[in-house]
Parts: sequence; C-alpha cells; structure tokens
Amino acid sequence: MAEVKLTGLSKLYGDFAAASNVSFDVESGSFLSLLGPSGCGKTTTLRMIIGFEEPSAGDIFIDGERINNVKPWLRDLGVVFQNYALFPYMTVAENVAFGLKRRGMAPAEIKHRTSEFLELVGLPGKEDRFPRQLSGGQQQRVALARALVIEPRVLLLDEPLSNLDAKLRAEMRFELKRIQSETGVTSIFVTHDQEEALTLSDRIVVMNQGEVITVGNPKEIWEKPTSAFVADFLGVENIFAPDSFESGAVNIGGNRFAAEHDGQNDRLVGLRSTDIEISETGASGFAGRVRQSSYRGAINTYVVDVPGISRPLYVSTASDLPIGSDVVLKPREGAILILEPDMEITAA
Amino acid sequence: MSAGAKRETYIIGAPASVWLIVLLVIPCLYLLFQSLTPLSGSGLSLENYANLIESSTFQKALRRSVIVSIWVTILTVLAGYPIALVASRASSRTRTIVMVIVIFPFLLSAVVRAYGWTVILGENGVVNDFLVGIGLIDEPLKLIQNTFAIVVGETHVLLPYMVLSLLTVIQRIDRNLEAAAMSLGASPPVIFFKVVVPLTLPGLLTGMLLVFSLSMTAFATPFLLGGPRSPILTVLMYQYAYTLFDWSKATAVAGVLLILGLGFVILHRFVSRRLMRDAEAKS
Repeated sequence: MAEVKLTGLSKLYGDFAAASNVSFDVESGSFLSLLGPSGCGKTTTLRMIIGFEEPSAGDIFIDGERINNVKPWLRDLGVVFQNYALFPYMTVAENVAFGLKRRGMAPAEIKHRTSEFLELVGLPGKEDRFPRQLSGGQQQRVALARALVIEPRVLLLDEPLSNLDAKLRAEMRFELKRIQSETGVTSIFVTHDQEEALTLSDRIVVMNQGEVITVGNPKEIWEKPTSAFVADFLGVENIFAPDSFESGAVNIGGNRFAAEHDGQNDRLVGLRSTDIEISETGASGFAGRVRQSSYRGAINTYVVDVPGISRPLYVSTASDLPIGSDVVLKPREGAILILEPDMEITAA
Repeated sequence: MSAGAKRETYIIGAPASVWLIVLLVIPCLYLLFQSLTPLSGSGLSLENYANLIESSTFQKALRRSVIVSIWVTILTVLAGYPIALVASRASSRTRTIVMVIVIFPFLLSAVVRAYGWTVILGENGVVNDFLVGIGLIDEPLKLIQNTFAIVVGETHVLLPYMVLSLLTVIQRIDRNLEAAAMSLGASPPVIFFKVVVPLTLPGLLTGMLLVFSLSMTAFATPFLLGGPRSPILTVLMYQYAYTLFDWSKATAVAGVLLILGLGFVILHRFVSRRLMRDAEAKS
C-alpha cells in the first residue's frame, strides 16, 4: 500500500492546458475519485501518474519517491481500462499471469496466484476461457485480477464501469468496493458519474477545465457543494441568482430565507428539486405557476415559473398538480446552497 | 442477392471475364498443354518436366529463387515493421512523408529502379567508391550481377507490400493493450513481441506470402540486376525460350511457376480465411 501525492501537476499541449496545477494527496489504502465531465483533465492526470504522458510541470510522488522519471513499466501500478484491454489471444489465466511472468515468478507460484486472484474477483475456474467467451462484467473482473495480482502500489481505474449496462454497473460497483477493501489497495478512480464517485470513494476530487475545483469526502461534496459547477455536476437542478443577500439570509421572490452566506454578493443559490416544498396554498414562500410536468412514478417533477427568477425552478413532489395552477414554493430548512459563481447561468 | 441483381452482376462482369478467359486462361492452359507435349513423339507425357528436373541449371535456379525469396521476405519483415509502426504512430505529416518514400518505388519502371541500383552497387558505384575511398577494401566488391543484387532490388520493390499489409493491422491495434502491458511491467521490446506481433499476425502472414510469391515470380528486377550467370526460375525460362530456343524446357519452367503461383494463392486464401475466422471469433 502506498500513498500518492501530486503537486502542481500540469500538462500543456501548446497553449492548451489539459491539466493545470493539479495537486492532491491520496492516503495509503484509501479510494479517491477524480470526478468531472469529459475533457476536464481527469484522464490526463491519470495518464501522467501511469506514465503514458509526461507532465509539463509538477511532481508525482508515491510513498515520498518522486516518480516523474521512472519508466512506466517500472512504476508498479495496476491499471484497469474502460474497454477492459484484455489480450484477446491469451486465455484468462495467461492474461492474469502476464504481469507475474514479467516479474520472473516461478510457474507454480504464478498458477497459484492466478487462481487465488480469479477467486477474489469472483471468477474461479475460468482460467482456460478466452476473453471473447466472457461477458463484459466478467472481462472487467479479469482485468481487475490482472491489475491486482502484481500487488501494485496503486490501482488506477479509468472509467472501468462505463462500458457496462446499468444493472451490471451497479453490481460491479459493489464488487469493486468489496475487492478494494479486501485488498486494501490505494486506488484512484476516474469517472464522470457522480453516483459512482459518491458510493465508492473515501475522497472525491472534482475537476473542470484542467483544474481541481474542490476536494472533499462524498458527504461534504454532496451536502455542501461550494461552487455552481460542482452543484450542477452533482445534479442540483436549480441554480440561480437570488434577489439579494443579507447577512445570514437570502431573498428569493420577495421572501427572506435563512442561509449561511459568506458576505459576498456575487454568489448564486442552489436548490435541489427535492428540497423545495410545493403547495397550492402555502402560508410562507414565494409564488409560481406550473408550466410543465413529468410523471416519474413515485415522484413527479414540475417546471415552475417564478416571477423575478430568470429561469424556471424544478420541483419534485409526490403530489399531483395540474399544469397552469398557481403554487407556493418554500425551500426546506437549511437546504439553500450558497455557491461560488464559477459557471454561466443561462436563462432556460 | 436477388436473382435480378445476380444477373446484373454477371452482365457487368461479362466483358472482363471474356477478356481474361481469352487472354489469360486459354494461353495458360495452352502453355500447360505444350509443357506436357514431348519434343519427340506425340501424346502427353511428363518427359519435359523429367528432363528439366534432372538439369543442374534448373536445380540451381530453383534453389536461387527460393533463397532469394526467403531473404527478401525476411528483409521486408525486418524493415517493414519499423516503417509501419512509425507510419501508424507518427503525426499525419510524418506519416505522409514515410508513405510517399515507401510507395515511390511502385511508381518507377523496373528498368529505372535497376539502373539506380547499378549506380549505387556497380564496380564504380557509390558503395564501392566509398569503401575503396576510406581504404577499407583495395578492389571493388562484386555487388551486382549476382544473387545479392537481386535480393537488394527485390526487397526495394516488394517492401511496400509488406508495409501496407502490416499497416492495416497495426492501425487496428487497441493502444490500451500496449498501455496495459506496459503497466504490468512490459518494456517496449517486450510489448512489441508479446502484444504487437501476436495482434499483427494476420497482416504479417499476408505480407510474407505476398512478398514471397511475388519474389518467386518476379522477372524484370532479377533479370536486370542478377545478370545471365545467376538466373532465378523466371530468368531461366526467358533464357530457354529466347536464347536457347528450347521451348519444351521453357514451357516446363513456366508450368512449374504456374503451379507454384497457384499453390501460393491457395495457401494464402487458406491461411487468411483461418485467421479471419479466428479474428471474428475473438471479436
């Protein structure tokens, strides 16, 4: 097990910064996610750690050793790719044994270790199959076994679940978590899926446009997203500029609501659709009119126009409301998020 | 395919088919028939072939043909892999330059190419001048009008076939496979032999069969660079036909070449079909 430390890591392609000044620590044995939209620099950062890209600036340390100049094949890292990247002309056992053979291990030991790790990933007895004979989920398990069997210092996962269908993805997520905690390997996981990041990680690094936006544990990131970008990426549906801020409060639609405001007046407000109470005749709250609704079974989502707010609000509720009806909206206590305005708010 | 579409295909293909039958198939069959007709007497016999196989000139030419082809195949593989790798991995600009250099010999007539090699390898050629000039040798080396010159010339001509065969398969390699191998501790040479070669095997075999059979049946380059004292089969056939006017031996050599050629086509189809099937099963 090893700890990873990145300091000021950058990758420039001409004028374009694919990654710029990326710094974070990964504690030994922990699971860290790099979360962000495509092109945010998360994969570039991963590739620099693996050694496929040379950093333009900054350092990578594993257990205090600077590895910038260590050849990629000597870094002792396990890598799992989105498309599995199994050798198609080798059996499952040969795939898993590939890294052990490079390390000059005795054949008997290789055989033993191979079946041990196939068991760990839940594929005992599949040694003689070829990758093409396995399902996507099984292939990814083989890839995981192949990466882990060399007992890497760090396990790097590049969107390993993205090629799987929804059901399998959920299943593999639990498997990944189980295998990671059983082996206790320090892991860095690249994903654009906030749910994967939240359920798997000890810590999450949110990235955008090559930069680290925020670092925190899943609970912090989910409950207190600090910026509009993070909130939007985590699925906060309503992000808008309020009427005005006061100390410890925010005015929306002519009403005053308590919120932890930091005194800066350029902030935006975030509200999850599930954090808004909606009623046809509420006492306290601001008025709106239902423009559109979508039926989703247990919960319906309504699009509500609110005078004074540039974009309509999304509200999720179990109650049934006709389109065109006048409603009163009220944010739940403590649900108002105050966000750094690091994103353009476009009128819908 | 519907019956109508099938008929259309036949109609479209008819002129070309007639052309091929009249100008290729019939002459080939006539040639085979000739080769089976003994000089003395009538009826069909293998007499011409028997005479041919006994002759030491033919044996030497056959051996030379095979040796040249093996060398050319080896050399095009050795040169083809690096070129194909560079061409597939480099920037599009570099790729264009490499491909133009590789394809260029295609565009030259065999005579021009052979003359070029004479300038380089001849007694007063560039190589000999240089070696004598730096005092490495006293007398010019015999680099032309021999088997060596044929190998050099044929390698030059046939290299594009190998490069193009390899390029098509190299471009299809999933780069993540190389990345995975690297992360597992494989250095670049190991990656080449353990990942690139297995994945490019179909293209490699296609290229090898192509180069070998084209080298066996080439005429102009071996004729111009090898000279009359080191004939390969094709040159021998020419000598029998036009220098010695021994048509029975010439047709027999042609028969041997025809059968060898067909053999390669069948072998190639068989091997590539197998590889295709494997590749399909794998994907």
